Amino acid sequence: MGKIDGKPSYLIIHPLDDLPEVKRTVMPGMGPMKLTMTARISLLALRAYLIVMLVLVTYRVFTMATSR
Amino acid sequence: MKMKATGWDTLPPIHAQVADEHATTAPTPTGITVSSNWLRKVLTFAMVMGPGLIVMEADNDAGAVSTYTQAGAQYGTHLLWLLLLLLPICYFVQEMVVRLGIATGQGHAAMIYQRFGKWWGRFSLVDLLVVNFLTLVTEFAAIALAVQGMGIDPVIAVPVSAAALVALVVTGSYRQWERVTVILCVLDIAWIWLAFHADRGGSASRVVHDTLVPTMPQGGIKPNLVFLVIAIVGTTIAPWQLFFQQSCVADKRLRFKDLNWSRLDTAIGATFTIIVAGCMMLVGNLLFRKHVPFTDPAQMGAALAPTMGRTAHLAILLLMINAAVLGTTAISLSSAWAYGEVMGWPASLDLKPRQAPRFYTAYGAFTGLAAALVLIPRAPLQLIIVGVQALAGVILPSAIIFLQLLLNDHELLGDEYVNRSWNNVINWTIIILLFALSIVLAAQVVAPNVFPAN
Repeated sequence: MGKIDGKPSYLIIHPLDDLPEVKRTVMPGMGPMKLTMTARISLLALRAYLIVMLVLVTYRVFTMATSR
Repeated sequence: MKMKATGWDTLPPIHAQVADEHATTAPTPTGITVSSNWLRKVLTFAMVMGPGLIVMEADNDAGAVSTYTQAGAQYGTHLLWLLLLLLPICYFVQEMVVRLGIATGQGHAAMIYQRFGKWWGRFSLVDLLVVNFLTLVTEFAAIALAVQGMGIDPVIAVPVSAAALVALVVTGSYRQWERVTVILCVLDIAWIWLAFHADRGGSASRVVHDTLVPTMPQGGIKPNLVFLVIAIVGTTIAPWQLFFQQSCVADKRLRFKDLNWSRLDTAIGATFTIIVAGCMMLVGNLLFRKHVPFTDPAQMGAALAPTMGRTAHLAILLLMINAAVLGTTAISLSSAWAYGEVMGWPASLDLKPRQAPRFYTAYGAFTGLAAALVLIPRAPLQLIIVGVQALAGVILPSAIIFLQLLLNDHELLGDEYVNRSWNNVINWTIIILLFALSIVLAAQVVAPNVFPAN
């Protein structure tokens, strides 16, 4: 906030016109996120679930396609 | 500053790269000076708003029009309460995306790739691209259906739509794309007019009651009802939305100070979307009251023409096209942004096509191929719709799990931007609910005999 002729004035800048700001980026050496053992096992289980489900869905869609 | 595109192995922050180029070329920032604090707030919000409204309203795409109007046509106003329940869910999920996008200045695909490794990065990207592409096909199928209803040949209208959608983004101006897209979002206000028109002679108190009090349709809980409920949830919260809004926030280079305005944008977008979705149900409700069977929104428009008039019929068809156009631009962009982020390509709407050729080629390819597929005679559209629903149902909970984990990444976000305890309680509840629905949906697709039809 500034003042013009004693009155308050506000400068509004569109984000695309503003100077870029420093963001919270992944620093070199930070690597993948540190996870607890439980989270790691849960993600492995999720990976297995997703692979099985995708195979089943693909199989089902192909079955439907060939039986048309 | 020039950076080399590096492919899968290393990942430069693409939106930050654009910002760096901007920093070296941009003069001292210019803006508007105002003397009123109230005006400052209004103008600041006007400049920040966009991603929240667009992501929410684009979610009312062609599939959503079909799902909500079907819900109204089959169950009247009985499922309005579900939309009210989905309002905070939509907001909480997308608010996390906004926070992550503003804090990191990067897209969702890039974050998954960087923080969970190559396997999850590639898996999320490939999944997103496949589901998005199939969804795009359904958007163009809806355009074909709507133009047929207006007596226009889809062979002409579909390629013209695809070309217009490509022209919309290749201007090299984020602001221009956003302005046009926001106008398309606002056009959905016409659904409110249609709902009032359709509900004439209906009971307003019943609408209010069914919105606020969960009620079961006559006949109780049947498999068809369960799957329609799942379809409504899946339509209202889609995986591409996470990727789209984060990339959009990053591309617009929203600043830390914009966070609360961006939250407001998301809240307004979510509320507007849910109101529009409710209006679609009310339009469908007229079929329910007249005991007319529902096939698709175009058929609904024709069936309602004798009651609501030719203007309303035309409005329904035009709104179908608008929904599909909004959905197509947002979904194609979410694919192109995600692909660019993971491949390390310049990927920004604020770059000219010669500065980001692969980003625009990806956008054009997704849009063009989907349009071409619709024009193939006897293309298996029903199979594609089933595939979209099943795949989206399978990947949505996992996509939200990554979002939840990223929002608890203290190392990256620090204490300021990570989830609070109450955020985590709400989000894990949402994830458990979505997982349960996902398993039921996947089970239905994989083994339809487990849940026989009524």
